[in-house]
Amino acid sequence: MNKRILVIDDDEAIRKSFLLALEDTSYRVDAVESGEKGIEKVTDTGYDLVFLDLKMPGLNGVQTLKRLREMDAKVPVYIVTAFHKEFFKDLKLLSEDDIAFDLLRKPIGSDEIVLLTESILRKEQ
Amino acid sequence: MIELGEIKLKNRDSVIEARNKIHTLARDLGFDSITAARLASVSSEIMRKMSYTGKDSHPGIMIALDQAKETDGLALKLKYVSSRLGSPGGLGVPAALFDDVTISGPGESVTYIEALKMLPDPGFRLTKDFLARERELVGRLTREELYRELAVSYEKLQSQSMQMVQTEKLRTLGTMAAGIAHELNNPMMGILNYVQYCRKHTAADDRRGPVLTDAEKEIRRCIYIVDNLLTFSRTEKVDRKWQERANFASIIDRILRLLSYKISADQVSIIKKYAENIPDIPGDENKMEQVFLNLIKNALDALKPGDRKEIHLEAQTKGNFLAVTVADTGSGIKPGDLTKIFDPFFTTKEAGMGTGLGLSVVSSIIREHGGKITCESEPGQGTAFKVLLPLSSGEEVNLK
Repeated sequence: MNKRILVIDDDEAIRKSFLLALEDTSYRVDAVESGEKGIEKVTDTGYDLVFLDLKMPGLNGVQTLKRLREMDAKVPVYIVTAFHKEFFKDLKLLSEDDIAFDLLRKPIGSDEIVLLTESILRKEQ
Repeated sequence: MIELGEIKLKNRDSVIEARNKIHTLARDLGFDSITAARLASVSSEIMRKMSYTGKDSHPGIMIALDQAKETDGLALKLKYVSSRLGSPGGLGVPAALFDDVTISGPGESVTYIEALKMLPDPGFRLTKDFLARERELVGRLTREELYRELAVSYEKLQSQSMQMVQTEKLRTLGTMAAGIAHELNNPMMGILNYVQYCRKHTAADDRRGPVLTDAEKEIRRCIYIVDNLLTFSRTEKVDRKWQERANFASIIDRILRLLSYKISADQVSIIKKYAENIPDIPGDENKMEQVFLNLIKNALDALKPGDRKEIHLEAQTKGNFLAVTVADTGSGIKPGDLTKIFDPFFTTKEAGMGTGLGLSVVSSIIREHGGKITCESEPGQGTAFKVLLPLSSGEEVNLK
């Protein structure tokens, strides 16, 4: 079965970047524009990898991750960020609480997206 | 107030001179009677002298009146403050303040303050601190020393206020730069991926292919600039203990290998003078490499054809710090530009040759590591950048 990837980002340019980069791969990619919609998606469908934005209206990345972890403790979550200082403290608290995530620094190109995705999902197999 | 003691008026060949141990306070002062009107006229003369800004500005007051008559037994008992107030025009407007003064002689008795009150607002204020410092100075120093001390204090004040302005300017710019950089990151990621997508789906023989490759190169250039802006925007020292250690000599070797083509093509001599056993620097090796790569690249750019082309790299330990000098024998920096070189976007390079971010990034990284960078330059002779980096994590160069 094809692996599923979810992109949660309020910026269309970022959502499209992931969709275009992963278009020719075997992965099924969904992209939503808010933390709330991301939670809904995860509730309905299981995902193998989540790319998550930090700064979003409504639920921000940190809050979304907390909710995600309540539903799925294992799915790899990559926080795609340009390093917003205001979230550093929260992120630190998350790691202290053993809430797993990885950081991915914006901007990233399609080759890196594909490489990274393949390496994570291969590892997960 | 400073009490300089009683000031005697002496009668000397019809010239009356008022002196104390430091200043001649008044000369050619002839009193036949002391009237309020006369005092007002003396005071206005004092005020005029106050605004005297000549090079030989006198801290005392010279008062000349039209009549010089022999007078006996006149005494000025006054508390006298001499000072030089900073003025926009430069060092030293001599200023004086007579306070609590009584001039008595034959005729009326009027306090000096009363006389001063008859005049328009003198337009200056002496602060308590200033007076306290003045008191200390006058007690301790001769007049020449006083001048020197004041000149040094004034220069110090000027340089401190310039530093404050500079720090504030950088902080504002840093906040702005960080805001812009963050806002640009998303659209840049979009453009990068759109261009890469188009290139991927362009046939190998399509002439639009190379153009898309160029477009990708340019957007990567934007990403690089924005990344530098984010580095620059971190104006505060990061409160962290560096786990990593960077080896200075190997960093420099890597940079020199990287620049080897330009170094040999331009026939530049690299002269290394390292002290023995230089300890590793606590910090991020990549960032340290960025610092010295920028400094050495700038040094290379400053070397002009025909000149003696040398770059001197010196390193030694100074107490708890590593002191590094990167000096060139190039064109030097104009004195007026020297204060701006660490400002973001300041560049003297031709359009398209530099972003003007190199040195501001260098200085941010050094600050982040608790260090300090300074620059000395002589136009036509060359430039030397001096870097101080703490050798133990958590240490910091006292920047005051």
